[in-house]
Amino acid sequence: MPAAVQNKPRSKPTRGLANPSERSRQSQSGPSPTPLQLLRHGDPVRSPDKSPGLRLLVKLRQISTPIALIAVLGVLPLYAWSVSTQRSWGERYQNHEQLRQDVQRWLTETETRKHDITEQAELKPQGYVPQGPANSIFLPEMAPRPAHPPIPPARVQIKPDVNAPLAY
Amino acid sequence: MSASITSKSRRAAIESRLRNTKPVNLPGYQGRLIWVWLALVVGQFGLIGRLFWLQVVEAPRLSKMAQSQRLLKLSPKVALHPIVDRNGNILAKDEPTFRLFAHPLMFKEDKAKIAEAVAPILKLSVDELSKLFSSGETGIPIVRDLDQKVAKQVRDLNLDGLELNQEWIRTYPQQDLMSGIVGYVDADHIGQSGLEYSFKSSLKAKPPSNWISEDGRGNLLPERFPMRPLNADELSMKLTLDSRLQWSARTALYKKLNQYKALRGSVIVMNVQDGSILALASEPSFKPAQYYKADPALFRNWAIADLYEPGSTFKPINVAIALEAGAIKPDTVVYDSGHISVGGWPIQNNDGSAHGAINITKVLEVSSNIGMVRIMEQVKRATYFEFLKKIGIGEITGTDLPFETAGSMKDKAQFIDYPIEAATNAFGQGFSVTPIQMAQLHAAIANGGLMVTPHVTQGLFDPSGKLVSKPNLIPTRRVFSEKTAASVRKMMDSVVQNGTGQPAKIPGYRLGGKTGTAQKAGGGSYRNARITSFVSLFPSEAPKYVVFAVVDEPKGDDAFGSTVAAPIVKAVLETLISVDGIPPSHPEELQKLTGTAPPKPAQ
Repeated sequence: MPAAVQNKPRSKPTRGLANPSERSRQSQSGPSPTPLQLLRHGDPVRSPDKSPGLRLLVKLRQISTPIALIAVLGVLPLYAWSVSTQRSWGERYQNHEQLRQDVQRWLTETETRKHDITEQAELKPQGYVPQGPANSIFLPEMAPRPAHPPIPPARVQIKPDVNAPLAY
Repeated sequence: MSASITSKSRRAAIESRLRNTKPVNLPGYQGRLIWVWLALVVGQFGLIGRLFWLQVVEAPRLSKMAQSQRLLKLSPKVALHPIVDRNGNILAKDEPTFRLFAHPLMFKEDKAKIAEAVAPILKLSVDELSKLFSSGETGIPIVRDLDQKVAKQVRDLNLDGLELNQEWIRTYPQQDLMSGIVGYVDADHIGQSGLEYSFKSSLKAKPPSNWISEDGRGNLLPERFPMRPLNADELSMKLTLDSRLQWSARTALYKKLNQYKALRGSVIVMNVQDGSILALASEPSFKPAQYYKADPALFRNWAIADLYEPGSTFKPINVAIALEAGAIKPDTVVYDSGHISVGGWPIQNNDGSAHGAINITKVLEVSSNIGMVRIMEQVKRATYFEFLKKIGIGEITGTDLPFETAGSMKDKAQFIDYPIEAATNAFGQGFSVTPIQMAQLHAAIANGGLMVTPHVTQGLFDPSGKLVSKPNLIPTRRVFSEKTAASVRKMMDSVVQNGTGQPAKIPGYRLGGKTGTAQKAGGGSYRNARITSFVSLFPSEAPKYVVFAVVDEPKGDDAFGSTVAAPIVKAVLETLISVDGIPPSHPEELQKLTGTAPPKPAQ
């Protein structure tokens, strides 16, 4: 922890010498490096320098974490709702299909019964007689309505009210 | 103070210890570090490799597998479109059925237990079912034509090794009423006769093409569902036929066939304006659901597929030809001597009597063969032949019903060189037509000279009633002038009012008609067997319909067109009046009949 454990006054930081060869050159030519000093009780502790980018990232993290939590909590019921809606749609569709099948089956059954009834009536008329012109009532077509002459608009003569004041 | 010293000395000791403590590299430390690093790197590459394998190499197969687990196609609603009459009554319709197979190899329970569970549902005995289960390892057909309810009961048992395959069964609720027109489908659901045969490709319903997703429970999900209405492809083939009229025609025909012990018969009701057929009853017929029990000869509707010599019902057509050719006028008089000889062949009237000098109307009224020969002698034989060709004798009508047979007539040289050919043609013998062609020819007289194509289909309609496709028919063409057609109609009215067609008279109405009684040809000569027929144009004032009845080989001395066929036409016309609500042209006749005053026109 060389950055955190510092002597007072602080020696010149060697952070910039990242290259090992450079460091070795410095150790050979320059003064020997200051030995690490232990932090004494009561020494003020300075936080390391932060670049603006790092600070921005930290800030973003502080903001995004609660947003992510809220989003997760918000999406869960939405997801549940969508799943439930789709399932309920599927069940209703099956119902609808079943009803359609029933309708189709009943249509066929109705036609078959109609045929059976007609056949029965042919075999055993039971007093029924086939419909023909002799037992039908023909209503003649309604005679076309006479074209009414256009009603003249009521003539209302507008006379000036002589008693009305013409001016004030 | 001492506490402070102690604390300081302790701190100094700790500091000193820390100062002297140096990190110690344990032996093999770096090696292990490299191994761990290598393991992580190899693992990472392994994961990348696996990802590539799944996402790129195996992607098509896996995507197909996933699709088959999640996606399915909607089951088709029908295999063949339904057929309905002009009022929407169902004539043919598909119903889903199921076929049950057993695969004992996949049974997870004892065969006997499964047999006990399934037998009561299928209404089979447990022993019978157990025997079937023991007859093989897989693919044992158990039963077919199970309805949906029974299939659901079997499915609800959730037994492994039982497989239900959906099939279709064609139902014909009207049974044999229209079997001669609608036809039937065989066990493979393929049309074999009637419209089921001639429109088999048009009737085939398109299976649904959309992939729909489903959840783990098998419920459909809406995400991929088509936006258009689901029933948009559910078409139905609408016919021009009227079930009620068909009933009436069949009943009237059936009664006469029984009364005269006739071989067969047919009744056709045709709209003369467009050639649409409202009824086409042919007896005997067959039940399409039990086609395998029927005589295969019945699968061909004889009104379309069989030829006969039309006899006297062809006389009005010949009169129209002579009028159109300018050989005669409506008031021309010919001499009927009762019998004559043409080219050495004797020809006589049906009753052998001579009618003397008679006009054309009278020739038709009394159905004089000699009179007709005299009329057609005035038309050049080449012209006569060409006219017969023009009106389609020897050709098919082009109807949409299958197995139509073209008529037959002598070749031109024979027709011109031998006078007997034209003479026999004059009274409707020596050539043959189908009953439907006779209806077509009389429709041309009724509608003012236009040859319409007889047909029974209106086309395919969608659920909203919109026409999707209609059959291609031969276009209407003129064969007679309106004047000629009107003259012949007038003569045919007189046949019903004063002549042989009187049995078809309906009080309150006027109709034109012509009887026909022809000897049947067989073995190169004419036999005693007859074909009786009657054709009617109705109503006379403005004909809308042709009703034609033909009865083959009625037995009895009184079996004529006027006694056998005319009453059939009358019965059908009476129903037609009710069905179409045709008001009487002479209500006073009805008043006399019923004893009631006709209603006054509404004000």
